[in-house]
Amino acid sequence: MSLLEIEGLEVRHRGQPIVAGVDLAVEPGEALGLAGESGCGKTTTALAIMKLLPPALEPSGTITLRPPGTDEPVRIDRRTERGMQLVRWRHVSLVFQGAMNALDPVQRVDRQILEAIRLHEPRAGKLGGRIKELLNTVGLTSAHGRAYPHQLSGGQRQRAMIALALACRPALVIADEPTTALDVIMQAQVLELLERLRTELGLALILISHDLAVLAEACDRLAVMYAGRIVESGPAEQVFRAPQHPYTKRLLDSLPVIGGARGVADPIPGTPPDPHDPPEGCTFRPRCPYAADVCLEEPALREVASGQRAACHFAPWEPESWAVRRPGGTP
Amino acid sequence: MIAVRDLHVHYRAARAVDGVSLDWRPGEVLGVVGESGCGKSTLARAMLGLVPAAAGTVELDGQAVREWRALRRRVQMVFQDPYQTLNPRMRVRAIVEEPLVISGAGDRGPLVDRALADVGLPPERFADRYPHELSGGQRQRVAIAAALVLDPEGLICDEPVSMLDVSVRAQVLKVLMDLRASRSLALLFITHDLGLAWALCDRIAVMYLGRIVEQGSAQQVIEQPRHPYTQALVAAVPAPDRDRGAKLVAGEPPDAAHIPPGCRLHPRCPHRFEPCDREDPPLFDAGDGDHRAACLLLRPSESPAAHA
Repeated sequence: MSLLEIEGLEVRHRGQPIVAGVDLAVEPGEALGLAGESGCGKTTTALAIMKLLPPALEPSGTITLRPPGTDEPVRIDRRTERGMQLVRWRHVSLVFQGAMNALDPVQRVDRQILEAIRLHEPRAGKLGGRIKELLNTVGLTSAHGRAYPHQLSGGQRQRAMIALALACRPALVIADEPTTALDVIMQAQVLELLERLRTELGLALILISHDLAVLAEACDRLAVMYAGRIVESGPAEQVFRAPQHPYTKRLLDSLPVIGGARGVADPIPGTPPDPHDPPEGCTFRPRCPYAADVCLEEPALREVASGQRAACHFAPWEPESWAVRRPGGTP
Repeated sequence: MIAVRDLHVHYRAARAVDGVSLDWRPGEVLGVVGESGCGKSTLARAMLGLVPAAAGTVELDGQAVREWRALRRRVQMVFQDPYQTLNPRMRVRAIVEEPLVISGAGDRGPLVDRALADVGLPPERFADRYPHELSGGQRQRVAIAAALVLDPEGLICDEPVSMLDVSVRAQVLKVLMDLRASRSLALLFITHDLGLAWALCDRIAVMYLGRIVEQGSAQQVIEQPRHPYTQALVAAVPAPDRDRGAKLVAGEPPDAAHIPPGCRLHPRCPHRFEPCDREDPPLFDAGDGDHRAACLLLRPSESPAAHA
């Protein structure tokens, strides 16, 4: 049984879907990577799981969480705000991109962790030891705990934010661009921390990033989003090595690989579609060098290789077939 | 083209640039790579006289620069954030034309049109738009057009694509590299992105705490890094199946007001040995041509076996 199951998630803004037909499952202890560029709907999906969407966005579809040790599955989509307060932080936490904005600037870090625990465990006794342990888990000391957020560096704040997310021992942590604001060495340190927490605590993780290389390193499975839809998903390494959707392929091509080919890859022309005026058929069609008449029909997300799904009429793709563009198509 | 000689830039107690010497050759694509706070942006600004140097010189064609205005005509700068650098109340044509107005050039229309065409923005479609009508990538291309219109020999690009989405980055980088070919423009990329430096640069200089700790060709620096800090940077680049081993440096850099004595990396360095906390290493020859690194392990008298 999956820890988290999302079926047919749709999020509408003024009647238009900005996230559509998203099905996702996360197994206990698994790391799922959600990839895509600005506006593709990955953060909206995360906020829908936390039931933190702004009022202008209307979700539909089912989101089921099965926290270990409880018999009753939690239907997040049906929960009231009060009911969600018992779920957030306790069973699923969210680590935001800008840790400075998510931490309370006028509270010491250890007080913030203490409050998060007290909220869910009002009868808990002394928590000093547990907080110290939490800080140590993320590579901080009690001295960091006594600091205010502004006294910490960006990397330390991100670690404090992770400690806070872990405070009530949730089964699932969603991390939205947790390393984007960090320098490359600090990013590597935080990725190693998340990997260690996963093995030590059996934590499941949804990692959201625009950086496919980060996700391929840190995750078991990947889902690539474009214009509100999942266009490809599968085992992380398989998607990274042998993508099955032209968008994934072009994204990977534009990522310089150290020690690999030098120079600039052919850019993807144009910009993502306006969600209020989506193109007919495949949403990537207007930018796709392989598009043909059949692409005026919307392709379904289907299995095209072992465990790998893609929403492209031409999948499965052989490595050599990427070289043949279709200038006679309809882009 | 521009040579920097033992340049120092201080902000109060912080030694943001702490003795940098660097050559940027005509037509060359040079990368200055480092993490936030290493002084790379300050170095770029000091090269154009936008921040005062505490010591050292910037030379243009072998002469120490005294008149910055002349240098800034020949070398222009493109900044990171295309949302803050374009005047929102000016149309694209006026933005690109402004440097020509300031320099008193006549017959400006064709020059503006050419600059816009060169960055892939057809003037008939884009010249009359306002910045808010453009995407991030298009804005950055307008900024590049404004930098190009005076026909400079060099462009200093400070993190030109770090705020852009992956697919848009390639569009902007392609424009820059095409310009290099068509206008034989020299490019200086200030970046934290080692992958970008690898893909585009002829030579790379790695900065740490105000000092260049390694420089050489892109292949030498990325494929055969000799300085432990460069090795850590290369090891930190995310990739599937990455095994970093013991290459990462520990902790975080101190701030530029508290530069450690001796080698500035020694408190974090996995290879430090006895003299590292006392001796500040100069750039030593790494033994393969134009490749140098500031690590005492490369000092000719040091036997690598003694501290392997």
